[in-house]
Amino acid sequence: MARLGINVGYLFWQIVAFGILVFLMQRFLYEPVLNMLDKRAEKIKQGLADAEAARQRARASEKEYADKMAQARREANEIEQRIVADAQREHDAILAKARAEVEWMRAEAQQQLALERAQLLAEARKSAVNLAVDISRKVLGATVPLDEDVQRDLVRQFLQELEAYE
Amino acid sequence: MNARSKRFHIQRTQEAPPKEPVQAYVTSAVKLIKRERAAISRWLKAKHGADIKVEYIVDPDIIGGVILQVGDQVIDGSIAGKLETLRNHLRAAIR
Repeated sequence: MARLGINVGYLFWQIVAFGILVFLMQRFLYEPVLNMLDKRAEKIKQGLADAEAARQRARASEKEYADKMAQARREANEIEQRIVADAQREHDAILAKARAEVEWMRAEAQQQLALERAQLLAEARKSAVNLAVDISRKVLGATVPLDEDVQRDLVRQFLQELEAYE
Repeated sequence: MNARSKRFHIQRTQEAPPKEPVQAYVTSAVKLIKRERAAISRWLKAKHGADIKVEYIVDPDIIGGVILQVGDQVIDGSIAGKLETLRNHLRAAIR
């Protein structure tokens, strides 16, 4: 060893000192740094996981929002359609009722008209009959008295009818 | 109510004695001649017996012919009566 220029004692103490240095570095430098790095890595990992969870929650919330919006739109459409249908039904009912009333009034008016026409016709016929009979009466006697021969002939006819009368 | 109807009404409502003669009214538009009155009188006696009293009335309103009334019985052979019958028939026909 001496021929190689190595001092064994010096080497020994160097080895001891190096061991102590390694021990000290291991004890006070490497472990805290490694621990810190592990903690940092863990923290980052946790942050990523939290971010992923937050993103999942955000997606779920977005989906829920979209579903609720779609549901709200569907309900709004249904309500709108129901309102339109109700309004249409009411409109149709009012229109049908109005048409029925108009039809009834027209039928009533026609019936009344027919009745009045029939009454007028009956009155006209009655008046015509009365007029005809009254004119006949006047022509036959009231204005121009029947002559004697006609009167005698009428009495003779009566006597003939009387003979046949039971 | 004309005079003839009034007489008829009085004759109907009065209580006639049992042997009072039957009253008859003969209404004509002109005065009946003797032969016509005789024929009517004969017919009345044949139908209602000899005890009958006839009153002759002249009423130009009946226009022509004769109306004979005995009690409730009326035989209307007048032109006015025929016109009324015609009026009633026409009214019934157009109803």
